[in-house]
Amino acid sequence: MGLAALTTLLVLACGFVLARFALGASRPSAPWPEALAWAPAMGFGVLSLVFFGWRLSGVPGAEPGGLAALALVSVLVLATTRGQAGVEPGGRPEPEDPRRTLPRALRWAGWLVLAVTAAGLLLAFYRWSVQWPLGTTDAINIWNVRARLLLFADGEGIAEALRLTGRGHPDYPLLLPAALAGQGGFWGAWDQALPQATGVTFLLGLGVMTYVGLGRLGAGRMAAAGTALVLASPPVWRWAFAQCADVPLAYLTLAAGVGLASQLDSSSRPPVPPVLAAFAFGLLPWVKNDGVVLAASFGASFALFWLLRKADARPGPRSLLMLAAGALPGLAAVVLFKTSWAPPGAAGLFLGDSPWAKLVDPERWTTVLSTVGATIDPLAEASPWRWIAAALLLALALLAPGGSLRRPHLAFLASSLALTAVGYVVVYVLSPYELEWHVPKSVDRLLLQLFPLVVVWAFALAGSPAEGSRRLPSTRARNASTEGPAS
Amino acid sequence: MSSGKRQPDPPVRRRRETILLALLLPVWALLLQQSYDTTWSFTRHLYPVERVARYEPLRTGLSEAAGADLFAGYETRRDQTRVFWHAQFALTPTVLTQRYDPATVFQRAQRADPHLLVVEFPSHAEFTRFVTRYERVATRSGRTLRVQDLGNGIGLLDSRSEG
Repeated sequence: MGLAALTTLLVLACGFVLARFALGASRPSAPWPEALAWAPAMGFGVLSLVFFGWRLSGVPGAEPGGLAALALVSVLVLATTRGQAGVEPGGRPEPEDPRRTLPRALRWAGWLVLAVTAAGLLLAFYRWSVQWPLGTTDAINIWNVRARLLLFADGEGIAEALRLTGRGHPDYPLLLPAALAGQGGFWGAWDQALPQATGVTFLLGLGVMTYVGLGRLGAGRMAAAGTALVLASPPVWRWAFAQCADVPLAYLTLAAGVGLASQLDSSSRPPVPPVLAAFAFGLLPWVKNDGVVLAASFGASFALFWLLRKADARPGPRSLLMLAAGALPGLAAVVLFKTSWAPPGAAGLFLGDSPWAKLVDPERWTTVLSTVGATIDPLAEASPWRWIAAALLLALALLAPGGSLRRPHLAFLASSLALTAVGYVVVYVLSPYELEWHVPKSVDRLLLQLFPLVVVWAFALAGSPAEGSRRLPSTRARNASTEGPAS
Repeated sequence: MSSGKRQPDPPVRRRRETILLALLLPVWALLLQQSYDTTWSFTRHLYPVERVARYEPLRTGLSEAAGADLFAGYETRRDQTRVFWHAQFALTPTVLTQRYDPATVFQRAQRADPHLLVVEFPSHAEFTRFVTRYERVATRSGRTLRVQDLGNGIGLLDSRSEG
């Protein structure tokens, strides 16, 4: 247990150093909570990519070498940037912290609620993990077995092993398995505490990212409330404890959404460095196949909003280049995996059996929509989503009036979420399985992937659209100011 | 893309936010209660750790094998599949191939050389009956059989040609 926790802490520390470096490239005084929020994406993301690439190349030594390489790069980054962090080079003013405008009592109440939520969640996580250390059926069948295969199988045997363990989604990509194998390989052994420690790190990352994301999108006043809402929700609890990939995917969806939205924010708030935002975006299909729908929806929506904005108000060529560079590692890993180790998988399964007949069958659409509707019905007593739906409806009723919905970065988020939802419904309609079984079994997890970003979007409606817009007139100007050299 | 509507005055906006925060407090309490209650009922989907640990002793017999067959002598497909994943998790990196039909298993005993078979039965008596049948088939094909019997219905059968 101790070694596993230390290994995960090492990955997190490396992720923190790399995230702080990436944030510092545009904003040297990046506060540590923001680097902490991005640390799981950088740490586990980079480790999984290095480990996978190394094993795929067939060169021995990936097991201890993956994490060692990550640590070495982090130490080098730390050594070369020492003394630069915290220096404000151009005297560019930090945006005013909008949380200060909340009455003191509410601010303290927010902190108290957050502390109680986090304490309850961690205590329950501990109790659950002691009693059920192996996670759920899917955790074993899909992620943990594959992590052990990556760790123990010889190089040539991996593809065959993945094919033969076919019933556990053999074409599922490898962010979690490779990140777990990379950690286990560092000490040369598997420890069941590894998926637990990794799971709790992503869970806490989800909380910090929600908090930081609301601040990034100008709604820092609602940060504590939004974070408490996310961390108190039943789906987050059960799937975080389950050692499945849904909480990590929810975390990366949130990171990618906030990061890309900040590129389109018309206020003077500094955007997330494009390379960092796109790195999270590129990792979406590297976590689960569901991530393909997420990445396609977010990518299409971003392209659309980029085209719709005036030339001087949209991210410039350098930002676009950085976005492409950031997305490349994750997307390349997915393509390499699908064309090498992975057997034919989900896409063929869903598109193989008369897809057009399914798409024009109104009964299938009705079944899917009515099941999803029943799941999120605030009046349905058994639904784990009823209080979440109620809270979101309240937020929309109180915060939406006044035209805030049309701010470009929030409109981008709304369209990305809507496109993803439509994409998921289409996938259900094409499902090769019995819909009465498939939809109820999985809809909870698909909703979880989107839910934290929906909370951030709804609560970000509270952000003032005019905040700071007097200081810098356009997105390009903001990007120009933030893309300069770090020193 | 900029907003064409007039934004509410900051004090109005602040008041709305404060109302929302106040209303969210009871919702948060209900959510926390619901999370606590429903999370524990969810444990019915989980694997008891002891079930997986039961297979660990078979690792030594499979240490050099890339693959092995598995036969679970349970009635329902659900139970058979559960056995498969327990064993697969414990015995990785050996890749298990699940065999559902005893006839296929006996056929493999004659054709595959060596044939490694992980088996689980609800009782030791059923395990013994199966081993007797398997041994008869293997011997008829000129194989020698080595049995690792864990005594709890689980075991590893290793049949191979002599020499």
